[in-house]
Amino acid sequence: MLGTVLYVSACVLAPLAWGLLTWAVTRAIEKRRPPKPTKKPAMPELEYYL
Amino acid sequence: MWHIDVAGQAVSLPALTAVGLAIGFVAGMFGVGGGFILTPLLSLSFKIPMPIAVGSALCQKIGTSIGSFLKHRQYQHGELRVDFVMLGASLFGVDAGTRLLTILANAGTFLSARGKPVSIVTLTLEAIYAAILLFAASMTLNAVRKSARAPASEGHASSVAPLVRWGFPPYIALPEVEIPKVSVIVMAYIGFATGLLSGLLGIGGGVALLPVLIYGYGFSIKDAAGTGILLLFATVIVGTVEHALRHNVDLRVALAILAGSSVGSQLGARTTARVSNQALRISFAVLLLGTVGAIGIDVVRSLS
Repeated sequence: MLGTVLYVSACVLAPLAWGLLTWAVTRAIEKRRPPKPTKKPAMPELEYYL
Repeated sequence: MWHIDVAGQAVSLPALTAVGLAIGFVAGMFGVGGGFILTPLLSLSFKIPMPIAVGSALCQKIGTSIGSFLKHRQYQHGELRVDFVMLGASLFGVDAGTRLLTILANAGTFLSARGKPVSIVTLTLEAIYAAILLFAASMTLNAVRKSARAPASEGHASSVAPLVRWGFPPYIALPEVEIPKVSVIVMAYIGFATGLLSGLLGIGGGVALLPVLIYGYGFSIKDAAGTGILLLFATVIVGTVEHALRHNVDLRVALAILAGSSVGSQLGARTTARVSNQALRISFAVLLLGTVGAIGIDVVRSLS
C-alpha cells in the first residue's frame, strides 16, 4: 500500500520536476546562444504522408 | 502451418498481414500511426488478449515509425524543445501506463447480466479507446467545419491558441514554431499523459498528441507531425521494452503486421495525393466513428 502511494506521488511530481529541469537547461542554453529560427528545406507534398 | 497460437487463440498469419496492410494503408493515407485502430482490431477480431495486443502493437510501431522519424528530421519539421520537455515526463507515463495495464489484467473478470464472465481489462480499455476516438473525431469534424468557412493556413503557430494563452510559470519560447512563451509545466504533464496512454493502450500517442499540438498550441500540421514523431519513436521503444519484460510482446504477431503495414503505408500515401484535404478529413472522422461503433457493439455484446 505504502509502495503504491509513493509510486503515485512520484508519478504526480515527476513531470513537475522534469519540467523545471528542462526550463533551467533551456534558459542556460538561451543565455549562451540566443535562439534564431532556421531555414528549413521544403518537403514534397507526397513525402509528408509517407 | 499458417496459424500460430497466441495465448490459446489460433491466429492466422496471412490474416494478420492483411490487417497490417489495411492499417498501413490508413496510416499512410491519413498521416497517422494507426495504432488506435490496430489494438482494438487485434482484440475484437482475433480475440488476442488485450495486454498482448497492446505489447505487440507497440512493438510493430518501432518498425513503422523509424521511416517517418528519419523523414521528418531530414526536413527539420517540428520543435525539438517540445520533445525535450515532453520526453522525460512521457517515459514516466509509459511506465505508469504499463503498470496500470498489469493491474487491470490481474483484476480478472466480473459476471454480466446473463452470468457471462466479462474481462475488466478489455472493458476498461475499450471504454478509454472509445473516449479518445470520439475526441479525435470531434476535433477533426470541427476542423472540417472551420475550413469550410475559411481555408486553413499552413503557416506557423498562432499566439491566440488556448494552451499558449493559458498555463503556469516558468515559461520557455519555441522559436522554431514562432511561439513566444509556453508553460513547461503544462507541457510536461501533457507528455506524461501521452506516455500513459501509450503504455496503457499500445498506441504511439499521436492520435491524442497531434490534436493538442495543432488545436491547443496552434502548430501547423507538418510541425505537429514532426514534433510528435520523435516523442512517439522514444515512447514506443520504451513501451515495447516494458511490455516485453512482462511477456506481453508476441514477435510473430508484430512481424506479420509489420510486413503488411510497410506495403500498405506506401499505397495509402499514393492514394492521398489524389484525394482532397477535406475528403481526407471527413473519411478519417468516419473511420474513427466506425471504430467507436465496433467497440460499442462489442461492449454491448459482452455485457448482455
